[in-house]
Amino acid sequence: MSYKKLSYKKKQPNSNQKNEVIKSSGNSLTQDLKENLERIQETLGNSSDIVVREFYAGKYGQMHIGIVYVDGLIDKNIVQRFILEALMLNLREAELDSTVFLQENELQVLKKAVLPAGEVKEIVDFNELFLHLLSGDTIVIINGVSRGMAIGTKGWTDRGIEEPGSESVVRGPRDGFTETLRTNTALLRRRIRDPNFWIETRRLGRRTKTDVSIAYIKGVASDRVVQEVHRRLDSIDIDAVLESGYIEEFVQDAPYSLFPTIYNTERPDKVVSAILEGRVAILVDGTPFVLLVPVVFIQFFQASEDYYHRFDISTLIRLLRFMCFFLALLVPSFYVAATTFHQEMIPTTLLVSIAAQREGVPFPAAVEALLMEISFEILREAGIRLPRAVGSAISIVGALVLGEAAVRAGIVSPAMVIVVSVTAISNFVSPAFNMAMSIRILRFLFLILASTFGLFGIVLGLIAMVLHLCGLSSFGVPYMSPMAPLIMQDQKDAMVRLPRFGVFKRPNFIRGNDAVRGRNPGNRK
Amino acid sequence: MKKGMALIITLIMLTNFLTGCWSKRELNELAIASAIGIDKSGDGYQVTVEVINPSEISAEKGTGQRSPVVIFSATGKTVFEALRRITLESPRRVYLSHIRVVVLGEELARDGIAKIIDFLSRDSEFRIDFYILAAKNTKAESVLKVLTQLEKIPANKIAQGLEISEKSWSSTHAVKLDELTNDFTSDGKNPVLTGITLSGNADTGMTLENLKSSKLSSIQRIGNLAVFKKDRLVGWLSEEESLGYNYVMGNVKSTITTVECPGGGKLSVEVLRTKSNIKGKIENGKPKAKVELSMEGNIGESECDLDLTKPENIRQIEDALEEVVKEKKKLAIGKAQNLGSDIFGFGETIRRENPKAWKELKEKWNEEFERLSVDVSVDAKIRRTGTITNSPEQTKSKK
Amino acid sequence: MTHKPKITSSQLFSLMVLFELGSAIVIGVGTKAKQDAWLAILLGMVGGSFLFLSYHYIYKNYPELSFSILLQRSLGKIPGKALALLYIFYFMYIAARVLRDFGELLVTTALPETPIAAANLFIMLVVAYGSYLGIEVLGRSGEIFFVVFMFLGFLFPLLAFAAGLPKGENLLPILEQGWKPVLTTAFPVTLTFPFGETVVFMMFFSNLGSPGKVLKVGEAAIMLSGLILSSIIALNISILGPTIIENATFPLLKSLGKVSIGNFIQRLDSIAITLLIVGGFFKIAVFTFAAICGMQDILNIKKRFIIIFVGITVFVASLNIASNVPEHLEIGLKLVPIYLHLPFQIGIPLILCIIIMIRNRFAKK
Repeated sequence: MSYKKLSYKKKQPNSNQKNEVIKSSGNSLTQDLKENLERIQETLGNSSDIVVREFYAGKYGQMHIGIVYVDGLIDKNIVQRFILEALMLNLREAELDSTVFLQENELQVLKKAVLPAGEVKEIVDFNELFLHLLSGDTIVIINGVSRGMAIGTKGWTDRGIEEPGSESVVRGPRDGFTETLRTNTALLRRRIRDPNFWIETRRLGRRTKTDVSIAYIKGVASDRVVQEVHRRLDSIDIDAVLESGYIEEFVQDAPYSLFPTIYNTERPDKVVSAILEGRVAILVDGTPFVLLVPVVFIQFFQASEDYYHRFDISTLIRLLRFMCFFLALLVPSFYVAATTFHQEMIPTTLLVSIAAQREGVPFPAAVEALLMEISFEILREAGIRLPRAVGSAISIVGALVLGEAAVRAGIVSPAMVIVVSVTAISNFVSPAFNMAMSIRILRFLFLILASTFGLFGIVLGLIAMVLHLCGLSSFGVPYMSPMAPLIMQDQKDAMVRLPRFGVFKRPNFIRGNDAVRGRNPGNRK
Repeated sequence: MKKGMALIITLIMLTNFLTGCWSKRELNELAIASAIGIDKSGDGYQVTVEVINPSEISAEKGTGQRSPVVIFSATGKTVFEALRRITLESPRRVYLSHIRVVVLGEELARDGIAKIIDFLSRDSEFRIDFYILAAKNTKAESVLKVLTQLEKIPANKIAQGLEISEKSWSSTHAVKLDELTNDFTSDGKNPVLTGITLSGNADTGMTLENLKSSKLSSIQRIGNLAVFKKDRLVGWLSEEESLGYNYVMGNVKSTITTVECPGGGKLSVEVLRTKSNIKGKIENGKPKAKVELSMEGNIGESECDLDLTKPENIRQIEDALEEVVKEKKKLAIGKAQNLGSDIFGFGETIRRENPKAWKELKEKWNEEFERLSVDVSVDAKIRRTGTITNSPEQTKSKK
Repeated sequence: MTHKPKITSSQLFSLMVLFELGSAIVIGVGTKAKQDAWLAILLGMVGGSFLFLSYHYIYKNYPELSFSILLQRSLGKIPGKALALLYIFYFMYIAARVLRDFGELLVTTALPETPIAAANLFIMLVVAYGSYLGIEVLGRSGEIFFVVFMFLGFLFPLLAFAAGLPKGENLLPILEQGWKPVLTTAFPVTLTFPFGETVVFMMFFSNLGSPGKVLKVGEAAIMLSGLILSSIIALNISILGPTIIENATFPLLKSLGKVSIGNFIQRLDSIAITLLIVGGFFKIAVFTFAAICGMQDILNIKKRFIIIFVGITVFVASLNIASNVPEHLEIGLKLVPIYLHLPFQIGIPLILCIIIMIRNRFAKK
């Protein structure tokens, strides 16, 4: 790990600092129920979504109990049936053995004998109390006991599992991650029924206290990578984690690089297949986007669908994606270089026809390309933000005004319109959005290089780009593996995808100790 | 520190880019030349450039009102100088990478073309994929300025005409710069160039009016081969001799050869494949050359009385064909020996096969060549007779 | 960085091949031998592989050390340091020469109005970036470009044969003038350039992850690049004839210009130029980085400053080593092989071999 970031060097935040939100003289609960409840309401500023309910329970109403929950974060059904009913009705009817009362305090009795709830946790201080309360647990406090209980009653309306919008497939599972961490882990667990599939969870964010889970298969993932993920997550000190992007920024190896060194996806099948290759997934509550580390360059050219289709088709499609990567990156710059520096390269007929189109175009080719590229980027950005109802307006404006009219007016040449469209379409081929973004930016750099030095500029730019790519690494894995350093064995599933006959293994550069994925007879007839 | 470095590098790069674009040539600042003609003018040269007018060529914008090409012409002490002087006439810089043909005026060719080859190979804008032709009985300028039909650009017409005639008539030989250079630097081989003539008047041919009639009143015609001695034009071959030359060299890809039938009448053979083998050796201290040609063909037209269904008659035709081709080759060799120029590279062959003997021969090769005895042999095969065997006329008379 | 950066044997192999093909393939070595140039290159290759044996012998005796430290260890501190410094300047000078070669190539063929300083500066910036990233990254990118280079290397003959360009008779007669011109071009020209230049890799042998493979990898690289160079030169000559090739500044470009299949695949030379830059880049980068590593071993200065110093020096030198192309070529073909290559590639390593051998004898006794 030669690449160290400034943020890692920041000292570990101590717990006092972290919890300064709830400042008070003593942090533990008192025996007085009233006092406790008041303190809760006071701290939360009497927020209207906090529900506090006091009542007397037991046969003779000897137990003074208060329950607190956040409306909207809990499943009212559960609270009603398993807490309120249990405490108010069942407890009244039940004859509690006095011996139990002698041995244990009321709280233990409730916990062990009365409450039919699955997740019950004792809490001692307010920090814990607030954490549970605000995560959707219901807090039960009994007068006279300086402890409380948090009962898992989480349940809120979420989006439900839908097909992921950013990555759709023709063939393959159609479920996508949701904003709820639990649902997401369940989606993974449902696919890997292996006891070694571990999910470790921690909370990040001083104020948001967001749940962040690390999922991997013990033994398949390299321990070094898992430790490194833990180390990097530990060093994050931030007030809010609203999306996995917040974490990505801290965790990735080269934040200043244009190339993504972390993969994100909303498809569970993609995450599962990555985990099976030995990668580590980072799930963040509140976002359907799951991070995958370590990541290598070619991964951005592989789609999960590759494995669902026949291998020959997938191989050709992968090669097509590579071609499109270069098209999207270089077509405008190559056009500019060829038409302003290396006219000898263009076949005469084509050159004459381009020259005829350019008659009367007022801008130099480079400026023309830049103008068109920028206006396309504007259109594209506008298209994302526009409400769906007016979305079609953009395509009309784009196609008619910028395309047709600009050509008619002689501001741009038709050839340039073709160039920009080819670039744009090739850019959309990329299965990973963040890689497509890098290409978008790099395209402009190459355009500038091409307009200064022609092909020479482009080639030197490519050399610099390859040097940069070779210098990157993601969690200790060289970014360009398995091409550089070359690992022949892993070429089976890199640029191409060979069938999974024979012994097929996990990628050498990622996995831990467990290499073999399966053994199949080569030719089955 | 690191940031500072990055800043400095970015600054250097930026200044580089801002002041950059040195070699940039926008397309609408270029005059794309399609052909160059070079003539002699006093001590120096007259250079004629045929420039494409893109908007007339393009399918969409062409109006048909203006000429598809523009001719600029200037004189100078050297070709390079004359070429640049054209800027006085042309609004755009002449761009030479796309020229298809270079036409050399006859007068210039007779004076020597070595200096022009130097310029053509030195300038980086020239590529080496253009054809070089010699204008016969006319100036290069006149050849270039005549407008053409079917191919709007005269240079394209010439280049494609040359290619197609080389492919299917074979009396021409498309010569590119590298072959010309190799031939004229070699001691044992002299170059040839295909000639080009103009039928009709150049001045009427250069108007758009000329294009409006179906039969063009003036047109460029690809001609016969010009024989060079070193870099000087010394004479022209006739069409027969040009064909003979190409037979010797094995350049014939396809041609029509007509033979007299043994029983009277004519018969045309479409020659399809030829393979020539030139050998040179020293016998009794005298150089000798041997040209072996094997060829294949089909009968394309028959006016004779022979029964073409009989194999022995085919054999007779083959013999006649061999004689005719042999005659053509001898004609070409005889003419070359008259002109004293070894255009066949017999000397080169001897050099390859016997470098030691060549060392002595080298100095007096021209005289040796004139006296060289060349053994010519032809092996012809007729493969097919076309879609009929005997001609209808003959079948009728038989009945 | 605490651990020594390691490269794999396939990385060293790719780097060496790219390095040797780098400028030799463009400039056309050995064309003084006319149509026997390919033979001269093969002879040079054989000589080069023997030279490499001596480099390997030196390395084998100090497998852990880079060349500059090795010199100090074997010759004593001060003479070793002085010699290492000389080697560093030698590397820098050759880097500057190659940089100049490529600057000239670009300026004469592709970017006629661009000042050569701009082109060279741009190359140098990328080289400096590569040197900053270190040998591991250079090795890895070498692997990638090796594949690209080889692919195009096979494409060229394929296209040339498809277009029916090569004429075998251009290569005849073999040994027209006897062995003499072939031998005089092979020794010293083709021996020292490019094969002897592998001396620069002495700086990097100790970085190889599998130390036992140096000899195998090195010899294989020399053989492969020799065969490629020789066949490319033979192809060039068979396409254009020895006279044109001998006279051309950049023969490969001329013959590539002839390739035309249909009306579609043609005019490949511009693309070729730029690809050749890749080879050139690696040659310059290897020399520059060797100089940087050497300085780092000798002087105790931060790497960053060394890179800036070496980068600027090489850049400035590339502009000033000759005032015009003929002078540059004259120096390169006449003076450099005798006064620089011979002592640095052959003389000093051989003497070093002998010293080590004698010392080993004594040590055994």
